[in-house]
Amino acid sequence: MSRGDEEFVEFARASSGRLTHAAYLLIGDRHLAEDAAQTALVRTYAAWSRVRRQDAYAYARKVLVNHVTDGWRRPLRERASGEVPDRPAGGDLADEVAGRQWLVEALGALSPRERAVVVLRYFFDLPETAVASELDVTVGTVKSTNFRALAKLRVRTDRPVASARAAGDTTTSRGERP
Amino acid sequence: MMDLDTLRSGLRAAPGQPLGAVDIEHVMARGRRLRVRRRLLASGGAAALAAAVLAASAGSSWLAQPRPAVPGGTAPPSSAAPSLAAPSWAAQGQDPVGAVVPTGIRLRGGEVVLYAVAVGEPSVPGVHFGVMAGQMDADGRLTARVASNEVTGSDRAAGFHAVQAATEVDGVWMPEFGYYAGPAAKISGSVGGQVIRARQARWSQDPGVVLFWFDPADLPAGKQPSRLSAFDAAGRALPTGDATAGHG
Repeated sequence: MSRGDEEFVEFARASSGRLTHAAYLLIGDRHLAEDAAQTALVRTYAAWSRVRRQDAYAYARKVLVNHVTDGWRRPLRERASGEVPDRPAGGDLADEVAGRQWLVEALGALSPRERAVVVLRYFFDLPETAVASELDVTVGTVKSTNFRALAKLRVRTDRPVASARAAGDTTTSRGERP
Repeated sequence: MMDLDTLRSGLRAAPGQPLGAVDIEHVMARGRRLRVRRRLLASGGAAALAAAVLAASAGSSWLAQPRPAVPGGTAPPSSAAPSLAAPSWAAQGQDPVGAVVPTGIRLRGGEVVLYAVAVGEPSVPGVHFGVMAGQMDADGRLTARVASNEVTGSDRAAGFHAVQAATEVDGVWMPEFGYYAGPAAKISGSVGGQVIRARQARWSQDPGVVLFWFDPADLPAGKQPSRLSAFDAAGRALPTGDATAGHG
């Protein structure tokens, strides 16, 4: 095995779990998520000689997000209803199985772009400028998309709650296609 | 309401059931196939030019072939159809090796065609050719779009090889295609339990190799066939080989 291949194997072992987890959040289906993560790694390997000296993880992440958001083979995306299910009462959301399941279902109610922004911002912890670059949109679009997504998810921010609800209601009533 | 920290924690919490591990060996095999395709396409412009020059010198009569008949609307032509009388082009990596096969699928930029191309990749010593899906315009000019080749073992081992899922290249959707090594008289796939027959043509350089493709007109909108099968003239099932469609 060449040195480059050895490096890729090491990279894939280290990153595949996190990429698959992100894909699951983006898609909501574990099998499709595993396929998407694998596809991202395939394309990363195909470009390995070019990206191995750069930020290979950023490359793989970008491929993954683009693959999912562009995914013409993603029938699940059409299931997005814009209606976030009721959150289970009680318990610590981060620790509860029910809470985890609710979060996946809630993400499924978002449009692909909203979902991608949430995952890039709060799973990968990317700043808004980096999210804009990865999604090839403006920072303003990232801000507004993020605001709508958080409103739908009923996440408390420093904005007034009433505004968040209004924005969420407006977006839902438009029936925005995912 | 929850706060952002709770959202972050929820996103990062492990899924209830563990997600499957990625098969890195399979990833690298697919990556090599994609890498070879990119190498082939990197010189596609030169190939298009060479093909155009050769087509001009050979005349255009060999280009005009009718779309194969489709009895009953869904059954594709037999393996005897549609092969063009090929100019005797030498294998130059990008030049067609043998006949150029028209698919009858006409898109912006010309009719989709399939042809074999030479492959010389040190990492796959048993592979000497792959299949290119390209387009031929009204002047007979070929444009390479996407190529696919076997990435392990022999390119002529019995079974499917180099199956490439439908993919968008330069804004044009190329159909799913590949080749079968063996006496396949019928090739089919499945979409939601419905059997979809592929269209096919024998490779002029080796009649034991059958090029095939799925015409989007035969498929439900937006669907791709899975579970490819091949049968001989007597209807007997043939070995499958690697029938997994590559993507990307």
